[in-house]
Amino acid sequence: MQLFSSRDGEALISIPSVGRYRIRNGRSVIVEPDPRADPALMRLFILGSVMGIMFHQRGLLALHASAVESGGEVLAFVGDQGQGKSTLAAQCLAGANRLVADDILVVSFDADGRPLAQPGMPGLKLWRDTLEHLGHGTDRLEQCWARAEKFRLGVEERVADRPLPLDRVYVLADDPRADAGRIAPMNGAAAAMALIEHTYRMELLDPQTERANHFAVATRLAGRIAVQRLTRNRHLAHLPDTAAMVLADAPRRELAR
Amino acid sequence: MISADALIAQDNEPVAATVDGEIVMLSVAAGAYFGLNGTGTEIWNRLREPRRFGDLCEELSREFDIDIETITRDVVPFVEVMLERRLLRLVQTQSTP
Repeated sequence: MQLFSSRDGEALISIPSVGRYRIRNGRSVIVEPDPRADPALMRLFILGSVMGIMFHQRGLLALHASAVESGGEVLAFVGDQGQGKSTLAAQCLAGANRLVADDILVVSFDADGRPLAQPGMPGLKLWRDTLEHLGHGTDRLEQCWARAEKFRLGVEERVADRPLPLDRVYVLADDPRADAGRIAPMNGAAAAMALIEHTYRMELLDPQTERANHFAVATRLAGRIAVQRLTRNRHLAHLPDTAAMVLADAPRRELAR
Repeated sequence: MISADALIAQDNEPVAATVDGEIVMLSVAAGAYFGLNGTGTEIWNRLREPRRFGDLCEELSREFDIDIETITRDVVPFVEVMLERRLLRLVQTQSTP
């Protein structure tokens, strides 16, 4: 069980048998490793919880999302752990589409207030069966720590190289009867609540100093993009149809009509 | 049950934002988030200043052309939950002996 405390722009997080991390003002991280710690696991926490805390301290909104670019605009998938965010993003990387982020998607705003998706790390974490479905072998891929059947698929040549307009977010839900799936719009309050709920490491937000800003940014974003629920059968057989459906979806243009 | 004469108003503590015409709230004190649907938003927006509960129900009844009994029956549980969560507050009136 990790211990977390945060006060005056300084957060402490302590993970048994791994180490302690002190994150200050979104700028510095001090790591005190446990003598028994596995370096790979130590790094995993830096790239996860520590990064999440850094974004909170900087006042940036980071969604627990995977995102792809298609035709110059970005679509993102949020959902609980294991809902298939990375899998759907990987399937969407057909044609000229590019990966924007996997697992952590930072959203900022341009001078005119339009939301921008910031490019993340150039790889996807995928299960073996997904990789095989997509036609990739796992022999030469790096295994993810503590998840023997999960591998990192590098897509360095297929990544977004600059911030791109965020167009829409899909909240993933699984329903075995839904086949390729159906898309349902979410209204204002539900959309905002979904973005709040699917904020990366929401539980590590400082309740006193960071919540109000996070709330302001999340509600602002909810008013500027389409947030929709995507209910589909997540079996791999339906994956190509689901991906084709979301790539062809144009909720904001329909609203504008 | 809340009386028709009770004075109610928005509480100052929660932070509220409007997203596509609906209210979303953060109560830092409660450490919780709340989303209001269209009806909830209508009620919330009418309570910037203290209002008699009875007057609120009458106004909603007139504007939405629904009889006062039905409106009151629907609004009572909503207002009670909002008071319990401290998103609305009861305004103390000078009591008459």
